[in-house]
Amino acid sequence: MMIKTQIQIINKLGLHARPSSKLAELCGQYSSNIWILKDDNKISAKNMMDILMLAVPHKSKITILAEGNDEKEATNQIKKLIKSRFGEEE
Amino acid sequence: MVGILLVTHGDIGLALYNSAIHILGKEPNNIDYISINSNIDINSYEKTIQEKLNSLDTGKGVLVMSDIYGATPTNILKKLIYPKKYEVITGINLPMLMQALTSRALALDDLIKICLKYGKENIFDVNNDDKNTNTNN
Repeated sequence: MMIKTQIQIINKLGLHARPSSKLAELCGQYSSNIWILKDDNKISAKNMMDILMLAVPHKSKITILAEGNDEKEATNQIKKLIKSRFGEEE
Repeated sequence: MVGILLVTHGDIGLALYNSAIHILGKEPNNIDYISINSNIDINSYEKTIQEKLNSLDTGKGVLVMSDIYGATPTNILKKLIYPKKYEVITGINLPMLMQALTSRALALDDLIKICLKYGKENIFDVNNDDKNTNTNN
């Protein structure tokens, strides 16, 4: 089984360095394989530099794919982190 | 965890180190830096670097990053290379350092490969980047 979720990046600066670091660190805590899909790219969500290379701007949508024993928990926490704007101001 | 030592001209290593802390939001473990100053006797650095290497090595080795191949910091380091224990790569940039700091669980040889890969792949001509959506020109 695999969970596929589309989510919008709502923090003003997009997936810049600090959010990418936070997202990769969070994903690294799970045993599931987790990917991010953006346009024609599919990268590991556990690698900060790969996330940065997507150059995801504010308001764009990404797709999260999670597959593994803790895929549900991982997906929930990823959604929570993105919806929190990575702790950045509105 | 592989140790990381930055050996650079002036305070390049310090600046990169501080930038990495800013991005990570916390101070990483087991990393240090040495600023090479041409006004100081070059020979004195060998001992300092060796001491830092010994201190950073927790059994997994130390990855040393310097800036320019052929220049003094790298030339000093060449004498201190100890295969599988203390290894040196040059051309340090922030992507390379960030990759190292977020891949600390890797073995030294794998860490070297991934740092070189990401250090090189993050050099772009942004003017011709197909992700550049600026249509003002």
